[in-house]
Amino acid sequence: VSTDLRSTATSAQSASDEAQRLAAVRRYDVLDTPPDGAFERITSLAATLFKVPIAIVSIVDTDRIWFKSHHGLDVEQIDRAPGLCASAILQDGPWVVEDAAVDPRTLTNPLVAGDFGLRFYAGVPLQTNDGFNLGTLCIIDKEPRELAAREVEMLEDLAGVVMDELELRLSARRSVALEAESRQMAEDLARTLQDSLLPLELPAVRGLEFATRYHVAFRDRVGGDFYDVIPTDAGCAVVIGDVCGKGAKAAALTGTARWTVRTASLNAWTPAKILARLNDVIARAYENPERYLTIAFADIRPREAGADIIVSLGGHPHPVILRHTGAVERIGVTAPIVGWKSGVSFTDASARLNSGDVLVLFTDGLQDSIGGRDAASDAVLHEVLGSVAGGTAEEVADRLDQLIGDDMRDDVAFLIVRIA
Amino acid sequence: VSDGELSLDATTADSICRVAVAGDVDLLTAPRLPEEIAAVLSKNGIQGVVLDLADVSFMDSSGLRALLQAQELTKERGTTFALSVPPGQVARLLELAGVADWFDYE
Repeated sequence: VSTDLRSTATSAQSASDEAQRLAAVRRYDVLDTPPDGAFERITSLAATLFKVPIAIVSIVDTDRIWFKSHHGLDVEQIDRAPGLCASAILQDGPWVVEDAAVDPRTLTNPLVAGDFGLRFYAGVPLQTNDGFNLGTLCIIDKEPRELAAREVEMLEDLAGVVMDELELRLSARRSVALEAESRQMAEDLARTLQDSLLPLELPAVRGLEFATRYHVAFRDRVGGDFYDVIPTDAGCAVVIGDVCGKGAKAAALTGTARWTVRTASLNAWTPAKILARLNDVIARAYENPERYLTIAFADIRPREAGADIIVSLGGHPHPVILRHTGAVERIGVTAPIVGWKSGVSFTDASARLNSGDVLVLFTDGLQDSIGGRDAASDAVLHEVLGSVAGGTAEEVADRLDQLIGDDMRDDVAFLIVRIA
Repeated sequence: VSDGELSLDATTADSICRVAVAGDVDLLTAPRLPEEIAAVLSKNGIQGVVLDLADVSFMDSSGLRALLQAQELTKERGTTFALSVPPGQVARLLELAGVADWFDYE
C-alpha cells in the first residue's frame, strides 16, 4: 500500500476562516471539560482495533491542542506548533503519515525527530455540520505502519461517532438554554400580569395609613391572591382575596373580581351587598363553575380620632383588629366562598376603631405558614400581633413577614390599615 | 409540614363506592381527586360515593375546590355524594369557607 498523499496540505486557511473555526470550537464548549466515558470508549476501541498504543480525540485551540480523550498517553495537551493534529485539521479528509521519519511533511517535526519518536500518525478531522474542523480522532504509533484503505474508512467512521457525540452534547446544551429562556419568559409574563392585578400604588386616604405585602409561592405562575384599596366618598374600601387556582384562568377571575368590586363600590351598598353582587356576577359568568374566590371586604369611614368599619366575609379568614392597647380581636361573620353558586347571602359586621388601632387583612397562606387554621395558630398570630401594638402599619407588616417560611405552598398577602 | 403524597383508595360495596383519601391535598395533588371520582362514576351500578377524609394530613383551598368539583360530578350523574369528616383541619377548612352545610355527611 503506497503512502496516500491525497491529503497534501491545501493552501493555508485565511485568518478569518481560522477565527470562524475557533468560534465553532467555542460553540461546542468542549475545551477543558472533564473526561467523558463515551470518548474514552472510542479511543480505547480505536487503539484495540488498529493495534496502536495511542489513540486521541483532540481539539485544536488557538495555541494548543487539547485532548478530550488520550488513550495510551499521559498528556492532556500540547502546544499547537509541533502538533500533527494542527496539520490534520487543514485537510478535508484523513491525513496519514505511515513513516514520519522519512515523510517530508514530518521528518523535521520535534515529535518525530525528538525523544518521543513518533513514526506513524493517522488523523481524521472532526468536522461540524457547517464544515469546521474542531480537531481530530487520531491514532499514533512509535513504529512505522501501513494503513489499508478499508482501515482508513473505519477510522473515518469512528471519527463520525465522535462528532455525533459532540453534536448530541451541543443539542442537549441548547435544549437546556431554551428551557431556561422559556422559563424566564413565563416568569416575566406572570410578573407583568400580577402587577396588573394589584394597585400600582395605594391611594392616600386622610386619617389612614396602609402597608401591603405579597409573597408569591411560585415565581413562574401568577399568584391567586389580590388586594385593593378603593377610595369612596366617606373614606375607602379595602379588599383582600384569594382566587382558587393559579395561572392564567385564575388571573382572569382575579381581574373580574377586582373590577366588579370596584364598580359595585360606586354604589352606597354595604359590604354584604357588594359581595352578593360579586358572587352572582362570577357564578353567572362561569356557567360550569370551576373557580371561586374567598374575599374579605372592609368599608372604612374615618371619624374624629378613629374610624367606623363594616366588614363582610366570603369564605375568607377573619380579619383581625389590633388595638393600640395590645388587645387583639377577630371581626366578621363566616359566610360561603364567592362565585361557586348564585343566590348566596353574606353578613355585615361593624366595629369602631380608635386612633392607633390597626386592621389586619390576610389570606389563608399566612395561617398555613404558621401551622394551620386552628385555635393554636390563631393564638400565635394574635400573640405576634400583640407584640407590635401601637406600631406603624409598616412595622406590623414587617413583623408578619417574619412568619413566612421558605417552603411556601401558597401565596401569602396581607394588607394593614392603621388609624392615624 | 408535608406528610407527603396523596393516596386514593376506592372500594365498592352494595353499589356505594368509598374513596379513602390519605396524605396532602394541595395545589399539586388536588386535581387527582375529581379525576378519581370521574373514574369511579364511569363504572356501572355505582349509586353513591363517600369520600373518607379521616386520613387527610393537609388540605388547602385547592382541596376544597376538588371536593366541590367531585360533588358537581356526582350531581351530574344523579349519584349521592357524602363526606366522612372527623373533627380536625378539614372540618375547620369547610367551616371557615362557609361551605360546611353545602355537603351531606355520612
